[in-house]
Amino acid sequence: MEYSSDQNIGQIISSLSHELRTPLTILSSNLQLLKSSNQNLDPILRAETFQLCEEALTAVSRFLDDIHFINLSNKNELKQTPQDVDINQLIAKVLESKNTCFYNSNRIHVFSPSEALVFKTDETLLTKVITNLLSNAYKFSAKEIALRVSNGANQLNIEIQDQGVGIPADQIEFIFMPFYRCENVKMLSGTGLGLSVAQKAANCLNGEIIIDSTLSKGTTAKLKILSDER
Amino acid sequence: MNAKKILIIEDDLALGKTLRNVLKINDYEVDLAESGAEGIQKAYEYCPDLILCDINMKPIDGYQVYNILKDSALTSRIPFIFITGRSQLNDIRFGLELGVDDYIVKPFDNQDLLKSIKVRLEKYEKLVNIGKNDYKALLNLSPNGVFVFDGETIYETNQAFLNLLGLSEAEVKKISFNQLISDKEYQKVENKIMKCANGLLGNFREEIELKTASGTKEKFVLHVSPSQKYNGFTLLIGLLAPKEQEGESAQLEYKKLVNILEEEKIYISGNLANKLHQAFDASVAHSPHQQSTSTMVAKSVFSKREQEVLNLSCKGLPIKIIADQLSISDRTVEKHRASLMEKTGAKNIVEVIIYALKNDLVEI
Repeated sequence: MEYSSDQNIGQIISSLSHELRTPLTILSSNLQLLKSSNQNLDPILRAETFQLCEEALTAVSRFLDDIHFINLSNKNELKQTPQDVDINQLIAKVLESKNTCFYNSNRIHVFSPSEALVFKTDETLLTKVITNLLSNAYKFSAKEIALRVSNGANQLNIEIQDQGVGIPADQIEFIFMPFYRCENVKMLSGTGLGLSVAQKAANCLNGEIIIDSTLSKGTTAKLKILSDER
Repeated sequence: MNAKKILIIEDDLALGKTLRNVLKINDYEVDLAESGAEGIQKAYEYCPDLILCDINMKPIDGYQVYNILKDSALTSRIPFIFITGRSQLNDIRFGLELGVDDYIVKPFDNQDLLKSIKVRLEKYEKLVNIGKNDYKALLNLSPNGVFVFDGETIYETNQAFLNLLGLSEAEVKKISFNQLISDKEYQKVENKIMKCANGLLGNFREEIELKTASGTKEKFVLHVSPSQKYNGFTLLIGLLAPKEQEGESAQLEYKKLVNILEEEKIYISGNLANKLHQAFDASVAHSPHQQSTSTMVAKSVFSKREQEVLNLSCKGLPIKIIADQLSISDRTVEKHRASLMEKTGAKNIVEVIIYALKNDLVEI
């Protein structure tokens, strides 16, 4: 996030108010509904009302987390705490996490070395990167998604390949900017923070994300992390 | 009473579901569209009583949805409420200028939303009822038989239609359209009716023969055009106009009358003119279409002075007095009268006067 110009700040505030307004509306409206007719709600409707509230809350907190995360990174206050991480286990955990849009999906196929792959890295940050990249792959495609893990000398490679809408070539340079959303996916809901967060987390891990995309064919995101131990 | 149908056009599924639940709990029937395009399509398909629409959608936003629906006779009258996160006055004003009925700003109070919907629906219903009453009055005044049908079943008719066929309302509802006419006559129109019902044909007219209340077979002109969609099928409006024969005979009688007046050298007094006017009205009623076009022609063709001469002539005033009143010479009055005759195709001033009465060009 650039704080240098008023225009940028204006844009950020307008994005903030827009992103927060909808979940707040959902929360407010559903709470009113529960309050005014709790007794008359049939169980299915009541369950849905609570679920809508929870989802709205999750959306707000995730959004605030992302903003906070980007802010920390901009101030260079992001620190990694490396430790030995079993990558296969970490990926399994990501796929089992209930708070993601791809939870319970059978479209994601993991290809990783059969032997345990232990890599020294920050578990939380790596989880963030993989979750955000998988969310995008899942959201912007309807077909199978491949997640490939490989390791080289002091290097971890994770590749996420989808067969989705792709990124327009003239917009690929902007995709890591906070709040940036490509024209071809504006009808899908999103904050435009996912890739920004992923990139900042990857950078902190001493790594990088390279995006390779063809419009209407699909996108491959390649995450490459170098190990500190050399 | 049937539940009112509300269409929600909202691309945020969670908000859409929330709105749906709030409305459902309050006894509305709800349809949910997740994009502008889907919303437009559903507005046509389901004919909702009211539309709630988000503004900020891609690629078709709420303003575009509104503009597209406003352009169609089927959907333009549906009350339209915008839901928006934009609280800026300019945005609200822009929407209201477009003609949107109301604005709800996120986050909103459920009660406010419900109140706004209720007010719009009531207002809409009132308008529809006014329209309906006017429409019914017009239909019942019409000397032509008017009926609403789906190609077979007849749903509604005016009094003239019942009188024409000598049937009661209950009897009409029991029979279908093809039973009103002979098979041979039905074959002439069957195809066209089907095309109208399927939207392949805008409208058509066809001469048909049918048995009237008096038991005789008479010729009519049948006009049919599609009216509105209802639960997935199209209702058609039919109009049965007697084939113009009486109209011609009335014209003949009228010619005779003019001749008599001429020979007797009678100036038309206000009273007589009134009577003539009434007598004429009855025959004119058979061809309302013709009347309106000639009125239009005449109104645009007469000059101001000619109109004044015409008005005074209708009062039965002699040329001299007309000339005095308008401060012009007798010869000028004659000139205007000649011009009036020429423009109306009349042979003498009495014909001009009757023409004027017939077409409501003067007040008596």
